[in-house]
Amino acid sequence: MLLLPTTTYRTEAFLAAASRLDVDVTVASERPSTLQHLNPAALVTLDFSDPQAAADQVVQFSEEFPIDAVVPVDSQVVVAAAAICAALGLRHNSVQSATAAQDKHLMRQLFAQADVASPGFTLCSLDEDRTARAERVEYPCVVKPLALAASQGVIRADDPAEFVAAVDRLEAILEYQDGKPPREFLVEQFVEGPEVALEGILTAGKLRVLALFDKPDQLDGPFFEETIYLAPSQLASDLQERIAGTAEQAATALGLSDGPIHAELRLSGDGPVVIEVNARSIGGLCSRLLRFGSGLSLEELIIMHAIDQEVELPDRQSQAAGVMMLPIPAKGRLEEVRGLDDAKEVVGIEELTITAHLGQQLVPLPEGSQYLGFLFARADSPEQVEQALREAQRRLEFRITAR
Amino acid sequence: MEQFHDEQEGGFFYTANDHEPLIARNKEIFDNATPSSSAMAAMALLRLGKLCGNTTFLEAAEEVIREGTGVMERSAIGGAQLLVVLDMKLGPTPEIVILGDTKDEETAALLHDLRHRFLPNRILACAASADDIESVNLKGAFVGKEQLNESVTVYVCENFSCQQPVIGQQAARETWEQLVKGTSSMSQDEISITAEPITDASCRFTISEPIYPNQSFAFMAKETATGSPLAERLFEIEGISRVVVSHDELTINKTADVEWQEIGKTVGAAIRDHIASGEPAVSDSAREELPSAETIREGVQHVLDTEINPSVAGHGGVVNLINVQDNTVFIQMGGGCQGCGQADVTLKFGIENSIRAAVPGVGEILDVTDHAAGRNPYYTPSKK
Repeated sequence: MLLLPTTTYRTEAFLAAASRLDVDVTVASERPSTLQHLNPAALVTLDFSDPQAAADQVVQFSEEFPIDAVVPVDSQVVVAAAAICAALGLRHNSVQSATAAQDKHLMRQLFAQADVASPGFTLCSLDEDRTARAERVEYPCVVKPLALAASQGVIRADDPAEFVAAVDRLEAILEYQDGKPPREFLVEQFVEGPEVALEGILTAGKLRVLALFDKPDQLDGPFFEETIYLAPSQLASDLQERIAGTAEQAATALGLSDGPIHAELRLSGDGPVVIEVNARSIGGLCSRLLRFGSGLSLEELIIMHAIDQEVELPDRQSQAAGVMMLPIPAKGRLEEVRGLDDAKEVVGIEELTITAHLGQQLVPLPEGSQYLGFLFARADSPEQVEQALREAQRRLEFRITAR
Repeated sequence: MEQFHDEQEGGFFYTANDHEPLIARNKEIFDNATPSSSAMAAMALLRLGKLCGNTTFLEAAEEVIREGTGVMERSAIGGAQLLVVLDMKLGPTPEIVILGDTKDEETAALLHDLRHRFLPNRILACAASADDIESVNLKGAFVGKEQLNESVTVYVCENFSCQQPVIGQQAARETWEQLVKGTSSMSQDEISITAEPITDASCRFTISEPIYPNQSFAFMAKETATGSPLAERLFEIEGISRVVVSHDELTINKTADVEWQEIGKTVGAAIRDHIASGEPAVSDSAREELPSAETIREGVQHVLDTEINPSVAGHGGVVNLINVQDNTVFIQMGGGCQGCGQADVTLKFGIENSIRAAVPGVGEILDVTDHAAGRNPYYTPSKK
């Protein structure tokens, strides 16, 4: 059973992986498919916001259509996946650990309890006097919502005035979210240093690193827009080992035990500092840059592992590869994209996918959570990959009108 | 690999990872009085990779070649052994499998003869029978091959294509002559087959002559192959899950538990056997059982009109039938379905499922929608 939120970027990748592995799939989404009545064994609607109700429903469903494994595709379904697996008796992360991986405050608390290197933090409320709070905060700091993803609502503040402005902005962002987002938010210490992302898979708490990505663009704020991921990492092997060790320690602190993790770490002067550990794999279309063994995709590995945790997973292919998440430069309506062919002709560029559609209303960070698209490159070295991605981006032109 | 391979940068160190600590672990890429260690490792891995169908070894060898590109470009002398590796990689690289007991006089003489000829780029494996091979890695080279007429038997293969087996010492000698002259590998009047993996799960085999001229037929499962000799042969191979025959191409899908290196040659042999048999690729009965394109078109249109479109209209979507060629159906999504993040779910679990249930004989169902051009998708992807 694939838990596929309707707004995920990853439907195609997971369905293709299941098809290549010849695995029968039931797709569960939070909104009904228009064709659900035609194929009730393969299309299910679950309320992901109520994990226990979702679990009860799947238990009933599985009496007629047995489920061997449950794969959560994005952040918003990891708790539901854990609840379903617990109800079905399948090996998976516990509900508590999945909840901790979704709740940034709980995550920070567990990191602190387990002495995992992570930023200092304070839980604040939108209902308190933010001017008074601003006087007590250490700067620079990062204002961060508890439950959003893709750096949405994450804002750096260097002084009290910026802090108040950041909180005002976060409050406005939270007003437009579905459901009832918490009124609390985090204020974190800003950690200087380059950022890396680690992709791994846990088996009984033991981390297998699938890829370590360097992020060549400094993420110093005021917003934290992801752009380029490069693999293999150019960091020294002993530092890479320390990063992996810190990530595993962080996953253990949360209680995560099985399945994919995606961790973000900063490399401070004192060593790796965990920013987040998510109980999911890399988001967007970024997984396309990863190939394993004879060409298996990350999604194939995740499904294989969900079905059989003892399966031997192949290594990542060693060729340098990279992705650029094309940032939204301005708010407005996407009218035209120019330079697609020119960008694709850059040596090393393997794929260019524009995921925003013409006519779409675009919202940049920190209010938005989307990208214009994704550029993928492969070359002999990470430097060449980065060069190709930047040159291709330079050749692209997005006409956005402010209406 | 464990001790010398550079996991980060690729290539091979000169010293092992358990060597006493040194200031640096260097990689030897230039030839000196002896060939460079990197090139020698690459050559060994290339041979082993081809012999065992081990892609990890082949990839490691390719890493060394890539790493040494600059050396080969600038200094043919310094990169001589690397050039030898490159030559081996580019081929032709005949893979010679001999079925014969090495203690047998005829086999021993034949091997002696082969080893005294200048044929540097050949891969050689010899055993009395596949049962004698203890290594599971080597067994793949012997799959589908046997000693014929109780005499030493030679198979020469390359890129998934095997020539007809050669029986006896004299015939083998003639084969060695042809290999040395470079005239053996698939002579002009022979069928050539090239294999091009499309994904890990599917591979396209292009044959030098049409096997199902100007037509295509999809065998979606083993049961549908009954009576069609080529598909029957292919489905006998472990792991084959789907076969599409189209003019001079075969697109074959496999399950994840087998590698193309394991089954590729057997697929090639099955294609070759089929062509030699002169039998049709798709049996008359299968063709007769298959509804006409017009019947399929009517059936699919009916499903779209009565089941699919009334439902997807709820999301402002529409699905159109574009064409039917033989039993391949081409559809296009529009409105809310075009560019929708859930379009794949709609296609695979709604549209395909309904069409296959209602219209027998449908082969592939291909979505020809330009989803990137969708202006009003129902679900737009967001968040990481």
